[in-house]
Amino acid sequence: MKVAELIEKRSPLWVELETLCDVVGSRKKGADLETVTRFASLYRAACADLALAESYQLPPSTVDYLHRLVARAHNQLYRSRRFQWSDWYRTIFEITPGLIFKDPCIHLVTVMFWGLFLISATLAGEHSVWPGFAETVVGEDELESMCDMYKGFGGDRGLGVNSLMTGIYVNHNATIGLSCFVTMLFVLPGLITLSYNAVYLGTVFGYMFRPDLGDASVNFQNFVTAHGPFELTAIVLSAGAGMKIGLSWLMTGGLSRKDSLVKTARETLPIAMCAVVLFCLAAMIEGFVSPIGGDVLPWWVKGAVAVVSSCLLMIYFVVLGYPRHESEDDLNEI
Amino acid sequence: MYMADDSKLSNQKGVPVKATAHWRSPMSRRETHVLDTTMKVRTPENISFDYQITGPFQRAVAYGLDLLISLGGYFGLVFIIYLLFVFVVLPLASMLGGNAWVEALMGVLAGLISIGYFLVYWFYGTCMETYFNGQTFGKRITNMRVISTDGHAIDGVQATLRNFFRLLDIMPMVPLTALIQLDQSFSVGLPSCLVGLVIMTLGKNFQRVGDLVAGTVVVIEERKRRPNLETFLDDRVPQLAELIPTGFVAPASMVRVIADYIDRRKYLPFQRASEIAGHLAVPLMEKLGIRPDTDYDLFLCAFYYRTFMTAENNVREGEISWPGGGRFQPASVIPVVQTAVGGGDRGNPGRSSESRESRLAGETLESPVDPNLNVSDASAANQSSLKIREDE
Repeated sequence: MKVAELIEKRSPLWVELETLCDVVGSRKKGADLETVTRFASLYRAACADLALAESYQLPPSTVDYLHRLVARAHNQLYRSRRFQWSDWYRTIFEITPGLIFKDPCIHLVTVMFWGLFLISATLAGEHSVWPGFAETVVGEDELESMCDMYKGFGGDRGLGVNSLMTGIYVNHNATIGLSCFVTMLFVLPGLITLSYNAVYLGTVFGYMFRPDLGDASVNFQNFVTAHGPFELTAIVLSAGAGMKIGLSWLMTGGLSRKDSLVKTARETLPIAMCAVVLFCLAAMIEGFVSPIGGDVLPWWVKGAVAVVSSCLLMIYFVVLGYPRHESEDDLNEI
Repeated sequence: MYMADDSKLSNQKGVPVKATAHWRSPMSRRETHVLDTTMKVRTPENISFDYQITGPFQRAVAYGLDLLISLGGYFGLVFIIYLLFVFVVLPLASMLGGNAWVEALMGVLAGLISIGYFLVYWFYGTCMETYFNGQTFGKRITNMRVISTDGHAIDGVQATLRNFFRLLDIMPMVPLTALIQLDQSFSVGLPSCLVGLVIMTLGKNFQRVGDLVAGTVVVIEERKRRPNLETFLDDRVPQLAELIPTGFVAPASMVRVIADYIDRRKYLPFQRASEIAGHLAVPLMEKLGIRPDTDYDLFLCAFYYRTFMTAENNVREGEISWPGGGRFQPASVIPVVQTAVGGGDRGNPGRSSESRESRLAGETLESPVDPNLNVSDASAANQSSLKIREDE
């Protein structure tokens, strides 16, 4: 057969495939069975034409056209896999806590964050060991303005302001959490940021808990107690998840760097999403419970909120996350 | 009239031209495409095809459009809701519950707007790409699509990851105060996108950090006009085509070069076209015994005419029937041209490709009417390529 004849013969099929690409691709009206079948067979025909282009001696421009056509049709034939809602229960309540429980990166980051936090809190709270530690780390002006801020704090703010602040906290804190997760890809800058934040937060806590600050200290305790567990855990989780990704391309475990990165990132995403959820919960508490003044809501209630949220976290991480008997799981899967 | 020794052909300026025909593995076609931004994908149908990869600047346009659409759309919506609040809800609220209600409602609205901004900023791309098969509005307008590096459609996890890691790609942020005089407290940063740009230029497939983490690439999905074969009004073209020996089978690479030339010659001035055509036409005419004073451009047109309009290729009628006709060759038996190394042996199973290589290297050019190299064995000839380069 002559090339010109061949092209003339196939062209209508190619053009039809092109129009069917649009039909199958449009989301308004789902393509019916006949169309899809026709589309699939036209696609296979175009694939065959492309595969045999060389022995058909098709001109390069036609081959180019076929490449684009097949690529387009391929993208319509194989569509994106969406989130499987049925898998969510398993992901949220079985896989993610298990991952968090046994992940060495998260353990490491936890120890690092809390270690630095507690050390700086102690140094800032105690005058004797390192006098002027808090002033060196945070700066005198900033500490003073913080004291002023918390002195005038207290009382009920009303639903409007509380909602507004909740919205702002969600946006601000979850963004910080996600940034932390993402920037950990380059391990070192992420670690530096995490350490700095741990030291800074620890210092502020230690300083503000000093008994000689009076009102400011009481108000500060009143404010931070309730939402502390969720928020600090969320920071640790997002940093830990980020570090897992960051280390995956440094220590690949036999895979190529790219593959290792892709594989680990996929595994780690649930942990980051868990952190985002915790940030949102923390923001709710921070917006609606924390700002209520000590005269309206006694401090022990907030302490109780903190205890309950800590317990919930423990249940999630330890009870749900404790490794199950593998054999049982395997049997279930079979 | 053929030269006895064709290893030293000379072009019109008398510079010796060395002609060699040699085998190249079909995979090495990739080498000829080093400048093309394409990515080869093998599909379950056992066929490989090229995707065209999108470069950073086209993607910047799509991203800009997305920002405009997502944030512009969001704040447009917020503005409408705000108007609704100011003119409808708040008067009602103040009538019913006084100032306290108004204040509370405004606060709730502001809080929701803030949360909404967070969701739109971080999850617009994720949702769009998951539910619209790898496309956002910006990508749809600019004809792009996100796919996995293995050629498949992406899933929700990949869409989420690549959109989260955009934060790294748009870094470092340039503080707005550094560009224009502003109050120092107004600390807004403009994304400089340098990290993404640098990372994209380092890799082969223009993957930004988010793409690397999620294992995705962004490809162009343009609708190409179906190219027609060139038609020639000049009567001399078919006449000249008759003069080309029927036994001569041009190697695939030569056919490609000539077809490319014919596609482009209409954009070239006549002298330039002739000059370019001469590089191939001169040795080829000599080989085929065409009068050397033939116009080079005309000769290549005739060659093109003969190859695509009059010569028979090795496909026979009815070898493969088509969807309209019912029977269709299953995909599994369709050979993948790009990976079928030595696929040219179909015609002569007894011979190794090496022996053919040497045979072709020595003979294709010298004796195009060699009986061993019949027309129906075109696949063998397809695999060889004619390489003409100027010796120093």
